Amino acid sequence: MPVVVILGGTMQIYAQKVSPVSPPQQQSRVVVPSNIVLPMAGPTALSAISASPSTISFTATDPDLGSVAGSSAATISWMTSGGNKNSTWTLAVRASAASFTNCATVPTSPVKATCTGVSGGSSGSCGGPVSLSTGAQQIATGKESNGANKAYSVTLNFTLTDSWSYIASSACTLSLTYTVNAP
Amino acid sequence: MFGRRDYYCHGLLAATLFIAPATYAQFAATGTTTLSVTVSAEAALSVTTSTTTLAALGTIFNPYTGTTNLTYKIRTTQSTGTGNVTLKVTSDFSPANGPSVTIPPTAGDALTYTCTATAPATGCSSATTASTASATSVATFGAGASSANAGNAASTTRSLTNDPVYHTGSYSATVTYTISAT
Repeated sequence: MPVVVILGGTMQIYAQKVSPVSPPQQQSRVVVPSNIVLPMAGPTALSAISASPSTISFTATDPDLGSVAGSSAATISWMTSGGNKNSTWTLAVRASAASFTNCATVPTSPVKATCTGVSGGSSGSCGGPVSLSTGAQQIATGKESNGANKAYSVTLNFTLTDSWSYIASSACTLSLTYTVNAP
Repeated sequence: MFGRRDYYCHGLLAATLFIAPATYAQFAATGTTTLSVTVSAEAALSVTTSTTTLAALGTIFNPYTGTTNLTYKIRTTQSTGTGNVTLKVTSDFSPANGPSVTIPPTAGDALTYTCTATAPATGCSSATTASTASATSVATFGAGASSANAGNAASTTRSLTNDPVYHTGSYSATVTYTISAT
């Protein structure tokens, strides 16, 4: 029976003739040693994503002023291992609900997220400002870094368009979820 | 040699089978931020009729009447909030020998008003006598009230006694409207 062994990343194929003559219809058997890792274009390993600070607050005191800036920018950070410099990562943001919890009159859409900076990898770029919704919206993209433990971060600014239609409350909250896709 | 070529052929097939799984599903991870908003109680008022002329129409010595239009904006606190619009005569009629809110020339002479207001306001329910001493109610708001972003309409229609003792001439007074919300 012929034995075909695939070694390492070179995709070299060795055939070993173990019998004088093998009939053409006989199937080959493939053996891959367990200590050999094939350099296939596998998925990029992602660390957990951190968002700092964990809470961003707005104080809406006068709707006639228009927009209110968040208390600080948000920095979204993560790391990759096994990335491919030719692969593109994306960062998307989505809101957990169509309106703030405890404040049904304050919808999600008046909150605008604006990417102001991207670091890590290469060719990082911000998308345009997005009005938050429950659907994921891409806000930044870039190319991955090769190698292990490569850090990336995206800085986001948030603004809230105030309105007289919002009923006053100090307990309005909304959870945002960031998703990184890295092939 | 035939057999050797065949082995290569099988080898290529094997390689293909191993390469195929390279189209892995993407890995994704998520993080979260909490947005917190404090929406403060707030109110604003615009007197859209900056000068209201009181005129006597119809029968002789009918009261002088005129309407002042307002646009209000308001949001009150959920469950516990309130709001109100008031007016006060902050400058009595002048010059002298005409009508007066503070010291009516004749007992019973008065500057009164009625109110209209669109929801969420509740306008004053009956004719109210304006005062120079204290503010009087034009409209009230309950908890969790909010106006349109462009504001909502309200008005006061004033009536001033047409007293024959008034000397002929033109008299003016200043009425100040105030809105508040909690």
